[in-house]
Amino acid sequence: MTITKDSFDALLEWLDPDRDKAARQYELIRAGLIRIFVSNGLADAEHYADETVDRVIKRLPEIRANYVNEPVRYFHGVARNVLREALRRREVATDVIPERPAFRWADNDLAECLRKCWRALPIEKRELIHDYHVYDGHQKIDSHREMASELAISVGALRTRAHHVRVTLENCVQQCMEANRHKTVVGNHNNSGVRKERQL
Amino acid sequence: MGQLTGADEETVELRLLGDSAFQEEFDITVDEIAALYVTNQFTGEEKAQVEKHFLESPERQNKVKFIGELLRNASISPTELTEDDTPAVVSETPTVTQSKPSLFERIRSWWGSQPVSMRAATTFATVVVVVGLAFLLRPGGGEPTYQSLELAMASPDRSAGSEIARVKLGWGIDGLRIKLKLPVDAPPTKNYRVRLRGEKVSRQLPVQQQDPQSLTVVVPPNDLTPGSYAIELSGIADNGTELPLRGAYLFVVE
Repeated sequence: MTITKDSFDALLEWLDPDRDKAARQYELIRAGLIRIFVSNGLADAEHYADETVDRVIKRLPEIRANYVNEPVRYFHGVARNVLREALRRREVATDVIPERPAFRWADNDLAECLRKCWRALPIEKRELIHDYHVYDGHQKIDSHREMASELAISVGALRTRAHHVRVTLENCVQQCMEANRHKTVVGNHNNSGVRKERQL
Repeated sequence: MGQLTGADEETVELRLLGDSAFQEEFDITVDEIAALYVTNQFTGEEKAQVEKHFLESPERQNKVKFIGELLRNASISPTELTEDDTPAVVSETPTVTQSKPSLFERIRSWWGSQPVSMRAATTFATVVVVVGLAFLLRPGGGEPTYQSLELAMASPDRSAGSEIARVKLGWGIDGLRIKLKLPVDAPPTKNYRVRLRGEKVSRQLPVQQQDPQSLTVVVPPNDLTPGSYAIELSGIADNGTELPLRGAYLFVVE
């Protein structure tokens, strides 16, 4: 089904009359759908999240007048159906090729990308991650308590702060890995007679 | 991990769809599980459950690889860089390196164009600059260069005779390597926690080397602006209890 601007606008309006709030809610729902599909072991969770949104948009004209519950519950119901179908397909041997093959990171590329991203991180953030992860077990708990006290924040806030640095690193690594994968694909598709440009 | 009931699973999933704080908490928990897995904190049935449920998707497998590699990087001192210090730029466009005259060549060229009197007057300054540059541009394996300091613990009452060490940091060093002599009454623990305190810094220092008589730590130069510093030491008992030592290692950076 082709999603038109009008049908997407209708979805946003259903989520909230305020378009900005609706857009934020849409992003939140989509991010939640991706987490649900990843947690259930599906590769290419974004594809299934988009499939869920497409189905909701398609059914919206029929249900909108009579549906009284929160939109999130409707999304959840559709997601459950999409999940059930995907798991059933996985159990039954088929010739259907996944939308996008799963991209598993090669260890060498990951190490190189993380080294690059680590070096790009400001020193204080590297220190935070270093101090946060340097101990195990009880020492870790005590160390976190001490770090939080020194920063005058709660242990929970420290945990969140470390997480944000990890997210920054992970996003950087993802971009780097995608860039490496693209270079490999481009390199492989070059024909003879054309000078291969291996970009480093 | 396949342990939630249907109703609980629905509750979690609905919260994931509608609560951004819960999404963040969820992500943090995923990271923590990944960290526990890569550090072999899971065993037996628990480990099997993690491998069966948590690691099923490629995204989670990549997550675990990322966390493992991150912990490996994080265990290295944050100021130790294995290659050059310039920040990385992740970009798909190729970087074209052009050869430019090195700083040595530019200085030599400038030097040759100056009148003799000027050359005589600036000889000392130039030597200092060139020596400093040679230090910075030293070829080869990039071995860090440290300035060394050895300290004994000062008693809490700063009794007479215990002078505070003073150090002036050399230019271009990678850090101040401090050998902390353990006092005779130090607790016989395998692990120690070392903390540096100054006016503008308070941080733990990883122990680089350890023997029965001393610990060695390295402090990056950025953390050592002129001022007074104290290094505090605690022994860590096997049960995780911290045993602070009375006294501190004191020094002044000029």
